[in-house]
Amino acid sequence: MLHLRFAHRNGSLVVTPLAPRLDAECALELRARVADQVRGRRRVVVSLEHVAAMDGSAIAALISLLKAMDAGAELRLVHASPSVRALLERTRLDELFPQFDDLAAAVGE
Amino acid sequence: MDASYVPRIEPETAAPGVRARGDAVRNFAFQVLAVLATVLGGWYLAWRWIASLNPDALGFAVVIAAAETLAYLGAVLFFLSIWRAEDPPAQPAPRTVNELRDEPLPHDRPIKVDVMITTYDEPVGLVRLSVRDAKQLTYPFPLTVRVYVLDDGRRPEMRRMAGEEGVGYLSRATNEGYKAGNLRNGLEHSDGDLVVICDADTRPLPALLEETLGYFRDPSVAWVQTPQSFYDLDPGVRLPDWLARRARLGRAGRAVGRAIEAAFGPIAVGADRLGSDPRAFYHVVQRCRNWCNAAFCCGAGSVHRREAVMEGALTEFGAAVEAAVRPITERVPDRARRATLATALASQAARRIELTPYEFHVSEDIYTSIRLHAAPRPWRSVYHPRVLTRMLSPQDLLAWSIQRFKYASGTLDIALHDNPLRLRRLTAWQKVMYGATMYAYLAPLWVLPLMLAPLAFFFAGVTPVRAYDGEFAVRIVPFLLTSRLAVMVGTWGVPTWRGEQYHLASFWLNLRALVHVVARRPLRFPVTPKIASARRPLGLVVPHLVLLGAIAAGLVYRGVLLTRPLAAPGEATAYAANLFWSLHNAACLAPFVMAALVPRRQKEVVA
Repeated sequence: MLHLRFAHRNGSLVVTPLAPRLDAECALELRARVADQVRGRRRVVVSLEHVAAMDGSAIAALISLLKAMDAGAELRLVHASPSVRALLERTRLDELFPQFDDLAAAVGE
Repeated sequence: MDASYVPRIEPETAAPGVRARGDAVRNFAFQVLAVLATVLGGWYLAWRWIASLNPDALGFAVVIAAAETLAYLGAVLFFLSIWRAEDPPAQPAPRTVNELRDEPLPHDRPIKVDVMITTYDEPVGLVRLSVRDAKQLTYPFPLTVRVYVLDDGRRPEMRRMAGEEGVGYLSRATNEGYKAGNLRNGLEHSDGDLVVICDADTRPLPALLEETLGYFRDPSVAWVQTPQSFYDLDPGVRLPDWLARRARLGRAGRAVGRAIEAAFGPIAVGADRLGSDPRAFYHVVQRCRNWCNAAFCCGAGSVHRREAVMEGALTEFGAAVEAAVRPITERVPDRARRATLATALASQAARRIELTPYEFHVSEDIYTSIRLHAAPRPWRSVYHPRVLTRMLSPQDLLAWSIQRFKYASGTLDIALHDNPLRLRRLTAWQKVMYGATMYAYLAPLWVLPLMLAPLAFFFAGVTPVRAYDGEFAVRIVPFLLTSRLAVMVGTWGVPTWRGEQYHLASFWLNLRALVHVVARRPLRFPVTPKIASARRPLGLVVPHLVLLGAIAAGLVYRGVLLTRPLAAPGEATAYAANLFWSLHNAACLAPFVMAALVPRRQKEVVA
């Protein structure tokens, strides 16, 4: 069971997974539980403060979430760990998921 | 259970032995012969172009010399593609998942394996056999194996069967991407560390995981392909028996047959009429791609690392998004504004682009292999030399043709529209290997002119060479003999003649595939039928029948002319040379025609 915290801040939905790893084991759950929440949103921030590592299946889940959002919407990442950043760079997805160092900047405060 | 799918011919239980001892000697002998054949062929071709083009029919002579040159290049590429046979060193089966991982998990656990059985319209009884065998997989350590039936046919009876067998059942609302899309849906709903891909009729042997998982100890190994083996191939009738009984020659026939077999090795009459035996491809071609990391996935009987599949898909997705964004952002000089714009555009583009773990393509297996071999992270592939799955062969010429047309058009489509030779991360040897695969499908470009050349001689008296004289023989015979020997030694112990016949007889099918792809007609993904149809697919062999008829008529016509007292000097040798070549061609075309005319024996129904 994947624990997720949802919050609203400055018009953005902030999703915080309370898990040290996001991988194939929880990708389906992540996708299923967040998809309904993000539908129609302009900006979603995923806070990775508790997440040390992600795998390709979890990134694929983020892509499917982005596709579920409004046209022109943004999915932002905060506190991505070095290994997550490396994976996004290697797969050239760093432009698609803009990364921020603190939540305030990510929600545009 | 649908009893008609119990194989008439008992499956081979023992996996064919790996050629190990003496293999290095054989390999070296092959390399020497291959170099010799290449040099002799070059010597022959140089003479063809410089000194022997027939000046009386220069256009024809140039076309045939060009065809010979293309054929020679094909032979050289084939030699290179089987240059070195090497098996990967066996690794002990890993105990837990951390033995497979680059970065260990904080809590180690048993390895999880998903067995995906893809089906669309195959009978439930056939899929049930595959499911049952998949449930019998063994492993020396605790392992979490989940079997899934991925049903693109959305059939209630298939769901029921999966329930009865206690395995997972997954279907989806559309058939987008066909098999590759079906597999993507399977990946989205499962979480195994490794994924076994099976077609509806792929029956794994119990040792599949035991023997292959060790390779994944190397974290860069992305997939392991095992040789495919058909459990229903007709073994034919051995020559002594055939001569004694079918040819009704009694004891004398049996004795003659034994004598011939003593000289040439076992000969089976009527074996594998459709040329489906995949041993030459797996035990020679794939095995020889191991050493340079170019063994490709063949869509069934393979084990994949999920993370490699996903990362490969993400890399391609990222590249496609970047390609859509870059032309616009490049024109924005300000860095901060460029980044904002890039993100907005990327998010727009991402909506239109599919994330495809397996390429949505008619040849999704080889396409996905190329992608991973050329990825920024250098993934490795392994070809495991022992048979660990069995499947049904194409049941008749129609099924065979559908399957081969898919292979040909898929490979040619990759070659013409997304050529791997342009991928800078592939090594030179990987390019040679993929290049050889693609080049082989261009064969009709030289096979057709070379098959028609004797007809030009028979009916019009035109020859591409100045004269079929002693010098012609001195130039061509050593090349033909050494290249024949090189192929024999290079493929030692693996039957290849049937494959060679079908390679030549496929000229029409391959030509149609080439025209289809060049004309950019849409590639269809028909599922290869698993059941023989009652009709005789005569349409498939019309060109072959016409050619055979023309050869026969031409031989007679020119033969009659030869008996006249006024026959030109040298015409007899020209006749002999064209006779030899025509008989070779006829011997290649005949089994193809026979396969269409004589329907395959029905499988016996075992109650």
